[in-house]
Amino acid sequence: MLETRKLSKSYGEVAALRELDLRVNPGEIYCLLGANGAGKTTTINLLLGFIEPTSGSAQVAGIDVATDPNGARSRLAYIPETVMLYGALSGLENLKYFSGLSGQALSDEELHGCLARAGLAAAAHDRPLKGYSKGMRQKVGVAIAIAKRAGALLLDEPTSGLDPKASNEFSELILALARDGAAILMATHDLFRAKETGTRIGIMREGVLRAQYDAASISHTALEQAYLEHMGD
Amino acid sequence: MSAGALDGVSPGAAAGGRERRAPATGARLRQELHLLRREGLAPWALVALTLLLVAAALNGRALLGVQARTAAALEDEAAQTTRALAEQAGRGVATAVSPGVVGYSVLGEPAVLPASPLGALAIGQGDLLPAWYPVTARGPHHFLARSEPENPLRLSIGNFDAAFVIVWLLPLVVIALSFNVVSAERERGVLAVAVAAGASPVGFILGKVAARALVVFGSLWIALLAAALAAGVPLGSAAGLLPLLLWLAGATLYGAFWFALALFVNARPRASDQNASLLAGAWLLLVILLPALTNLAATTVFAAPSRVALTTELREASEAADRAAAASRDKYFFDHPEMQGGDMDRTAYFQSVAQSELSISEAMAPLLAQFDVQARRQQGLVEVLQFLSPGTMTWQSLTALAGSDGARLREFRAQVLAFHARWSGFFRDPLMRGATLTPADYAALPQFAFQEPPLGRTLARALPALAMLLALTLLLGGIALRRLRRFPVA
Repeated sequence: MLETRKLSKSYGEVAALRELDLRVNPGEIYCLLGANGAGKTTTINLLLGFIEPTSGSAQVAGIDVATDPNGARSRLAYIPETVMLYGALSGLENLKYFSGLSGQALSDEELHGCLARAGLAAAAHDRPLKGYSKGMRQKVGVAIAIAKRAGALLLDEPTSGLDPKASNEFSELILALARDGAAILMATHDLFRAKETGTRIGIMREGVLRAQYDAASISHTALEQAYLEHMGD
Repeated sequence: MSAGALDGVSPGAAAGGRERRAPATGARLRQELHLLRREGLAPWALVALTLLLVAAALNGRALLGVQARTAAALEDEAAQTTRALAEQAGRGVATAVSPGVVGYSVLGEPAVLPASPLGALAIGQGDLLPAWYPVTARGPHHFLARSEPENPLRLSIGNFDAAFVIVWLLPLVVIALSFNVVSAERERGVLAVAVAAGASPVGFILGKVAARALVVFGSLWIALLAAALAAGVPLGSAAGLLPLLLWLAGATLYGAFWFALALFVNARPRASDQNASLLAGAWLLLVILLPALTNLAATTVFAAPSRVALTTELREASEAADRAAAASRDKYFFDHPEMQGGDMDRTAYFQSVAQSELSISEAMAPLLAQFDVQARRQQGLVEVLQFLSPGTMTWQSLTALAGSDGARLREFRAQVLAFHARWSGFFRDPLMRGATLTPADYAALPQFAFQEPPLGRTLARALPALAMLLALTLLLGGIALRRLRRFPVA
C-alpha cells in the first residue's frame, strides 16, 4: 500500500533521506523511530508529495507520488503532530470543511458518525475547536481520515504532547483502523507506543533506515537497547 | 473509540476511498464564506467599509450642495438685477441704458459649472478650482483672480469622499482580510492537512481568495450603489449609470490589484507578520509616497508662475492703464474745455475704463496663459507618472469619470473665457459706438451653458489607467499562481 524504493532527498550537500526501501502493507502499522532530523518527517512529506525526491520513488496504492501526487493523496490521510484546523469552527464544521475539500458531501449524520468513531464525545461535536484539548483535535484529525475512507494513514508524531490516557485512546484508534485494512506509517519518538501499537518498527538515523524489527518479537527492553545503540553509533 | 472505524468499507474502497470528485466551486465558496463569518473579521471590515462609503457620499453631496446653493443664489441675484435693469431701460433710466454702467459696474453673469452626475462621489479638484466665475465686462483677471491655479493632482490629503475611501481605505480592508491568506494556513498546519485531504494547493488558496473577494466586492458594490443613491446620482439616466458602472469596474479592479498583491506576497513562504509588514509598506509606497512624489515632480518640473509675479504684473499693468486713462482724460478736457472742473461724460468715462481693461487684459494675458500652459504640462506629466502607482491611476480614473478631475474644470475655464469675450463684447461694442441699451438687448444677453466634453474624451483619460491596472493585476496574480504551484506545503 505504501512503498518507497531507494527514496532519497538531499538539500544541497545535506542528505535528509538516503535510499529508503520501505513497504507498509494493508492492516500494518509501521512505526518509524529516530531522533529529530533522522528523516522520519521527510519520509512522510515525500509520501504526501509535499516535497520532490532527489532520487528513487514513492508509491501509494501503486500510484507514483511524483507522477501523480493528487492521485496518490486521494488514497491516504495525514495527521500531523499538532492538528490545529480552524479554531472558530466546531469539530463537526471542521470535519465538513475538510471532507468537502476531497469532494465528499457527507450528511451531518454521517459526519457525527465519523466523529463518534474517532472517539470524540457527542457533546463536543458542536463546540468551537479552540476549546478542544490536543487529544480532541487529534480525534478530529482521525475523523477526517475516517470520513475520507483512506486506505493509508501517515501520522507524524501524533501522540507527542498527549497525556497517557489520550495516547492510549489514540493507539486504540489506529489499531482499529489497521484492523479494518488501513496501511499506517507513524513517525514517533515514543518507543513504548511503537512497541505497543506497531506491527513493525524501523529505527532511522541521519536519513538512513538502520534497522527494522517485528514488534511482536522484540521486547521493550531489547527495543530500547537497540534504539540507544543505533543512536550512539 | 468503537471498533470497525472503516466498517462497511470494501477493500477497493479501503484502497482507493469512496468515489471522489473535485468540490464544486459553489460549495467551496460557501465553506469559505462560512469560515470567514465565523472568524469574525470580515463582517466588521465590511460594515466599516459600507458605512464609510455612504458617509463619504453624503459628505460629497453636502459639499456639492453648498456649491449648488451658492451658484443658484448668484444666478437668482443676476436674474433679478437683469429684470430690474430691463424694466428701467424701458423707462429710459440713464444708468440702465448705459452699456458702460451696466457692463462695467452693475451687471455680471455667474458662469456656473453644473455638477456632474457622479460629482458627489469624487470631489477631486472641485474644491480647488472654482465651479463658478462671476463674469463681467471687465477683464478676465477680475474673476480668474478668485481661482487658485493649483497643481493638477491633489493626492496628499484629499477630500473625504467615496473616491478617498476607495483609493486610501479599500486596500486596507483587502490587506486586513488577506495578508495571511496563505501564511496563516501554513503556520497552523491547515495547508498540509487540506492538501493531504485532497485539495490542490492553488485551488485551496484560490478558494480562500475568491471568498474574500466575493465578500469585499459584494459589499463594495452594494455600498457604492447605496452611496450613489445617497449622493443623488441619477441612476435612471445613461449619463449617470454608465459612469457609475465604470466606477464600479474601476473600484473592483483596484481591489483586485490589492488581492493580487496580497497573493503575490503570500506566494513566498514567509511568516504572517512579515507579509503584513510588506503589504503595509506597499500601501504606504503605492498610496501615499508615490502619489506625493508624483505631485512633487509635477509641481517642481513644471512650476506654476510665482503668485508674487502675477500680483506685480497686475499692479504694473493697472498703473500703465491708469496712466493711459489719465492721458485720455487730459485729451478729453483739452478737446472739451467747457467740461474743465466738472465730471467727464459717463460714456467717455466708461470708454476709458473699457480701454484700460483691455490694456490690463492684454498685459496679463501672457502670464495667465503661462499658468494654463504649466497646468497642462503638470497634467501631462501626471498622466505619465500615474502609471507608477495604482493609487494614482485609480484616483485619476475615478475623478475623470466623476467629472472632477482637472480636465473638466479646465474645459469649464476655457468655456468661461470664451463666454467672457462674448459678454464683454456685448457691452463694449455699443459703448464704443456711443449706443444705448434697450429692453430687447437685455432679453438678448449672452447666456452661459457649459458644454460637456464628449464622453470619449473622458474615457480616453480613464480607460488607459484601468487597462494598466488590469494588466498589473493579471501579472501579479499570474506570478503568484505560478509560485504557489511550487509552494512548500509543509
